[in-house]
Amino acid sequence: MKRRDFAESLARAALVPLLGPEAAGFTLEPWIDSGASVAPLASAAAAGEPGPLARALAEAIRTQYGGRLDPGDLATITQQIQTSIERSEQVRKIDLANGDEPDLVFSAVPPRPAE
Amino acid sequence: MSEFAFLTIGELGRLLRDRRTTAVALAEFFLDRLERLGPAYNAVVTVLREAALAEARERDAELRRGKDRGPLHGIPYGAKDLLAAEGAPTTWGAQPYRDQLLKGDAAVVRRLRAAGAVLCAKLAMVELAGGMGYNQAFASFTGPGRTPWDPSRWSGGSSSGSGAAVGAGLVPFAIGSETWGSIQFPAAFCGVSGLRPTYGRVSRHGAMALSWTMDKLGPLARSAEDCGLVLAAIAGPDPADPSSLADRFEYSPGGRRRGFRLGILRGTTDKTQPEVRRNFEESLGVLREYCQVRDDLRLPDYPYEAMASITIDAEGASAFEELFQNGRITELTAPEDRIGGYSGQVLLAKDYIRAQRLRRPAAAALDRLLSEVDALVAPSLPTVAWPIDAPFDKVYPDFPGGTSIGGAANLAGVPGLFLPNGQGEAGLPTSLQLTGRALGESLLLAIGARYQARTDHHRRRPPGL
Repeated sequence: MKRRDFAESLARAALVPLLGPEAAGFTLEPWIDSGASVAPLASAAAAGEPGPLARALAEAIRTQYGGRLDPGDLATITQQIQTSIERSEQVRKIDLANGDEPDLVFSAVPPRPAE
Repeated sequence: MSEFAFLTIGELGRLLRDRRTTAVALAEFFLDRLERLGPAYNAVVTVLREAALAEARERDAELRRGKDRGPLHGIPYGAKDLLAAEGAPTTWGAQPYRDQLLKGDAAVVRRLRAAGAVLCAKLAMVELAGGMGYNQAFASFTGPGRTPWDPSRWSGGSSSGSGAAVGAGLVPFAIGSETWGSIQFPAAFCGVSGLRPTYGRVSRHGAMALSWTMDKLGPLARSAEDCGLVLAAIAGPDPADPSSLADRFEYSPGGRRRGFRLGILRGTTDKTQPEVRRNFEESLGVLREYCQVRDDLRLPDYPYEAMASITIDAEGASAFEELFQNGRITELTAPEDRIGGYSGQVLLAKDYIRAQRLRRPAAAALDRLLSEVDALVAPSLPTVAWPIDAPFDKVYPDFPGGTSIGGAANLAGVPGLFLPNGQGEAGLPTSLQLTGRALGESLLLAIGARYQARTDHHRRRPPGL
């Protein structure tokens, strides 16, 4: 578990209403109203088993950097890619309209020199 | 001699202005402690003795001439080693950058110099601010950060040295950074006060980037009031940082407001250590003396942690792409850091952009929740400091914590204040956190200062110090 994963685990309980208790890894507490929740993610339920996309992306890593990675490293990386894909699936569960812009900072005016 | 070691900025400033000490004497005192005690906590990368003494002499000369730059005049401090400081290496805690010499000072360093503070040391940190996914305390070429409360325990990360140096009285305050938890953890594990400012409140110019849209710089110090004094010196717009906000910050220590509204997220103390829960309940008793507290709040339903992870992974993959290209990623200290960043290299652009598109409504929903109160209050962490010799997934598995605001707050860029609130298991410090709306630092600091006026947790010293 990364330290960031630990921080993430601290917050998974808050996701129970969204993901369902099984996906979030928590027992449903009496106060949690899951009536309006989104159905648990199929991929989250299958966590631990890299899918075809994870394996394909891992192959891209092997192609670029395979010379310095052993099979154990590649297996770990494939698993991490699967975790990343599952995070993206969580994000995709929320609908967005075409006009919902990314919250990025861009300015047509270049930054001025440092103060 | 430790008479200066645990004094606040205000107390040290009074000694200076009353001519009971000098900036040089303060610098020498803290430089000696950094050199003598710093190694025990793996807290220091570079001690800047000559430069600090030269600055201190200038500050003394100014005071003699009647020039007073304000509350930080002549006050020593340390900077996390991701901030550029001309003439000293800026290592980012990582072996591949161990000899890196950057030109110019970070904006924060320039502003603190302008405020009269004296930079005494570059402080240790988790390599690349933890962006490659460390799973253990030994994730820096300087070794594992150790809390002064028990050197067999971790000081937290990624601002490891900043937390330990303040906790051990090696500097009166330090600058840390937080992308997700990197001020929170060291403040909690080292028993000090820490402030994560609003994203954009403090210029990031000259600071290592892990995540351009989530990195924040902020102080770790002896008290909430000290955090306010430091923030006032470092906050403000900077044309060199496109994300910096136009708003100014002025710290008013007293504040006139009498009552505050606090909120607690349901489930916030679930699965925390009993001592953490006990201390939190005692803190609520103190807070209720001047705050109305409601405990029925729920975090809006967004996958904050997934969005934050996607954001950090994608931006970090780009920020450190050169390490993957040149192969020097293999030189990182923690084995998991040597392979932890590859998944970010193939994170799909559409997934990153979708997370950024969802970020605005998620932040708006969080803001609506925060607008119902002046601050959310919660334990900073569910446990005391973790043992150094265990992987993170093996420490305190029974106490993963309950509902947490951390991922949402960092994704949305809202401020957080972390305050010691007692002793837990093995006498180690526990901590209380306050989370507010964007640009709401003044409210958090006012609530925190009043809490600390009623308690002495922030005055307690680690054993033997």
